[in-house]
Amino acid sequence: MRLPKGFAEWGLVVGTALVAMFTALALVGEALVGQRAVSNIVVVDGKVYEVPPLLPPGSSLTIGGREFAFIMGTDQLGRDVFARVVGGARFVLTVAFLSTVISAVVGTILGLLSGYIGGLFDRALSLVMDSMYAFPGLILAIAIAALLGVGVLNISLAIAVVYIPSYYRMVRGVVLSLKSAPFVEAAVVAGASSWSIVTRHILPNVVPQIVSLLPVSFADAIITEAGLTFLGLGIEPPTPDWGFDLNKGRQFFLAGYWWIGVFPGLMIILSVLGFLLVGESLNELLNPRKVEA
Amino acid sequence: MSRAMSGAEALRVEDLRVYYPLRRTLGEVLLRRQRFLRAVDGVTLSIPEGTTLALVGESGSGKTTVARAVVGLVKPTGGRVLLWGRDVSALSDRELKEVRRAVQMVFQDPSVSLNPRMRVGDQVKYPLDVNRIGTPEERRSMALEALRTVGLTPPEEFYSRYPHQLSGGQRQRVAIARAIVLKPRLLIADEPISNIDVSARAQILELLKGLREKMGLSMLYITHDLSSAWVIADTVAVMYLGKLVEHGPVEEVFSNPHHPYTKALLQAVPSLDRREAGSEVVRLKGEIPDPLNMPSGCRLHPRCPLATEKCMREEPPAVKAGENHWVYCHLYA
Amino acid sequence: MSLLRVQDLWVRYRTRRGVVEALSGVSLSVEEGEVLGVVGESGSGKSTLGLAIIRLLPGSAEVRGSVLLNGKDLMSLPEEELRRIRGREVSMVFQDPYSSLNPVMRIGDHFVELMMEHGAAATREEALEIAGELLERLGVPRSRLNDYPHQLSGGQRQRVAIGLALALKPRLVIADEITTALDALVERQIIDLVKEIKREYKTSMLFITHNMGLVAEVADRVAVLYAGRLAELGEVHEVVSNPLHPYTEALLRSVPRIGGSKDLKPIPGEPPDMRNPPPGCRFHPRCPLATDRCRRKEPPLVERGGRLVACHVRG
Repeated sequence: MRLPKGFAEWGLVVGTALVAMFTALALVGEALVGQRAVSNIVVVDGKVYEVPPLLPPGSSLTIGGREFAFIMGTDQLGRDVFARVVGGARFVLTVAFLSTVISAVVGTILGLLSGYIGGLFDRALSLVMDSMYAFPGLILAIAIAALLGVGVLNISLAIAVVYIPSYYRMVRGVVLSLKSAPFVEAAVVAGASSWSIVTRHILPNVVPQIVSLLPVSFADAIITEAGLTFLGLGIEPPTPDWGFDLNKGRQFFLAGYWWIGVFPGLMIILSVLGFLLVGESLNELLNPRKVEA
Repeated sequence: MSRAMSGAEALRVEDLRVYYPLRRTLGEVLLRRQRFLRAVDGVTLSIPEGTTLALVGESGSGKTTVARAVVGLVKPTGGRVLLWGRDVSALSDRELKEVRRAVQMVFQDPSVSLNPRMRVGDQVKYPLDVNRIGTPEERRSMALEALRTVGLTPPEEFYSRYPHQLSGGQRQRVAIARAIVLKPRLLIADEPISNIDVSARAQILELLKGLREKMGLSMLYITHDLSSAWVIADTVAVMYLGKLVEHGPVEEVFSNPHHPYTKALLQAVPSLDRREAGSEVVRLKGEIPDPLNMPSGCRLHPRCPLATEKCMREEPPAVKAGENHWVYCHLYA
Repeated sequence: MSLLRVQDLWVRYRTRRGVVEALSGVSLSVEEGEVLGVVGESGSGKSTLGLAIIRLLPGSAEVRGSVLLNGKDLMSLPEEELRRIRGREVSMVFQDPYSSLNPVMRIGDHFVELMMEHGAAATREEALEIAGELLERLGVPRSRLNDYPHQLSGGQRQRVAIGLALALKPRLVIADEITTALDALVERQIIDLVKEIKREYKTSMLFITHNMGLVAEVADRVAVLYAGRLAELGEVHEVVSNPLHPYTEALLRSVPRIGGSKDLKPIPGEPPDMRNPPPGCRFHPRCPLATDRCRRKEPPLVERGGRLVACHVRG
């Protein structure tokens, strides 16, 4: 093992660290912090206490003999901001993951079919996809989210729809260029069926492109999700969520209670940064732009 | 020297035509007119079983299109393709599949005719997978055998490599291995050495010749390089802008060329000893015209120093120039 | 004094997968009015040689040695001086007739830009007049000056590229595989043109190709490169009829010739991986005459009967 060299390698290391941290948070976070993210009620030795709201970061409180630390303070309802931030990770990343998977799978399948079958089917589908692609993403997501209502699946679907065209276009492009590639013709001459050609020749050559798009589209999904929840769509309080909290925090910012919104906002930035770093560095390392002699 | 084993013909192409419809202008759409690019315009030739025909020409000659029509990548617009006497258009899907298995192709550029993300062994085995021949173990050993046959030894080592780990010559060998693994009877080689280094070309040519002997193959060898045609072919057919201009036994045609185009091609070859084939130097004017603006009559007439008025009006007939040697030119009619 | 004297030229490229030594100490010269053919395959370094001389190698290339043009070392000149020399004293014609011309500039404008930049013409009209004459001499109708490159055929584009290379009457023209991308008959036309230019203008040329036959027709002397090193250098007809270096000999024997033997003798083995070339004589893994010494020690370039050859056995 050697030290990372150059921007791309460092980017990959840092990005992967961030992604790993957020994944860990998403997986175990909520279990760790539990109730403190959704309510300000705390039970100690059977006695019920309420955590005061708007405590600044770094405060600690002794409740019923036990010491409670609020490293990020509490929000306007007395809930632990740190707990909300950690709990929010689960929601956000789950939504981002689901929507990325859905859009990748659907986009790829449609792109494969469209590119390979061609003809009127391709023309019609391309038209639809291009229109969707041209439409401002967030607005489209808002429209669909408003239609579908709240819930993890619904908001994931809303976001997925926005990114299907990206995968579609990319896959279709690769398929079109590969369709006339000599090694595909060689397969035809050998007597291969369309299914065989698509699965054994086209798909393996499409996968690397998809893989390089995934991290970036994941990051995009996070931002879109934050945007939707910021506007109050797709989520039902008191579910912790960064975008939602960012909006709430906005209202309290001017009054001086900056920690309610800033910490969730920071999480959005860091998580997006992590995924983008991974995506871009991977891209740079696998498809270097430097000219080889 | 003729290597014909029986009187049978592996391939016969009769009046083959491949026309590509061109994008129409608005005017043409309104007038219901359709222009065509006549890539192959009435080509008749045959390959006796066990022999090799070199199809020679420059860009736009249609030679590659003929190959693609024979192997089924392109559908003929007219004429017939007969494989071992059977008209491919008259066969059922199943019969066609069977016949086509016996015709395989080696493409020009091995860096694109091989899947960059598939191991060498899997690619050579692939035609067997696709046609469900034998068990997976048998397929693997057949693929190894094919690799050994083309000189990639030890085959196990090459089996697990990827194309980019091989040299150009080795990649072409892999492509050849893939083409012979189904034990075809007719091999179409489309400019198999044009994209290969000079020192590897001889290896590939000798390999093809060796395979031909070993497997009793008939071969259609497409090239723009006459010297390689000399070395590998029994008969040669010269094409220009979609039509045949001359064909016959390779020794005959190369030592006694009749058509001005054939003469010009032979004289164009840079040679170490400047031997001019034929007594006079034939230099053609200009360059290959735009195939969308095909000259009338004999396609060569705008460039031919010996062109007459007849050449401009009428297409030249086939004239016998020797034993099995035919030329399409008014000068000899 | 030779017109061009390349001395101990080393070129290394830094690639992602390792360092490639494209040229390892190549020395040669081109005399006034002569055509030196440079023959080699891919990996031989022949194109690198041409680019190194005219200083057009990519930035990632490491170059050592000297290139003396009329006694001036091109390696030590600053970029502005090089810009004046390129086109004026030494010019280059490339393989691809499509890429050496700017697709959005008319043919005439290519000449105007070139000539006015170097002060060879004072006005646009003057430049076009000279260009028109030159093109006619090269077999391209003067009217083509108004056309864009895509309107010309491949052969015409190459003639234009040759015209641009000759426009400023340079002392040395480097031709890098200028006919490889052309059809057979057009190739013949260009070769005849090159021979005519040689006769009329007496321009010195470095003619790079992989085709021995071409070199025999066009060149006076030939340098055979293998894996970045000079294998043999001598009068072209002598080298071709009586090759000394085993590589030259094997190469000549493996090339098909119409009317010759139909049984080719291929060179065994594969071209070397230039990231890790064989030790000693780089041809030894494929050489029928290889001895132990060949495997260990690099053969020196010695003179043998008016020729230079780098071989332990034959030299």
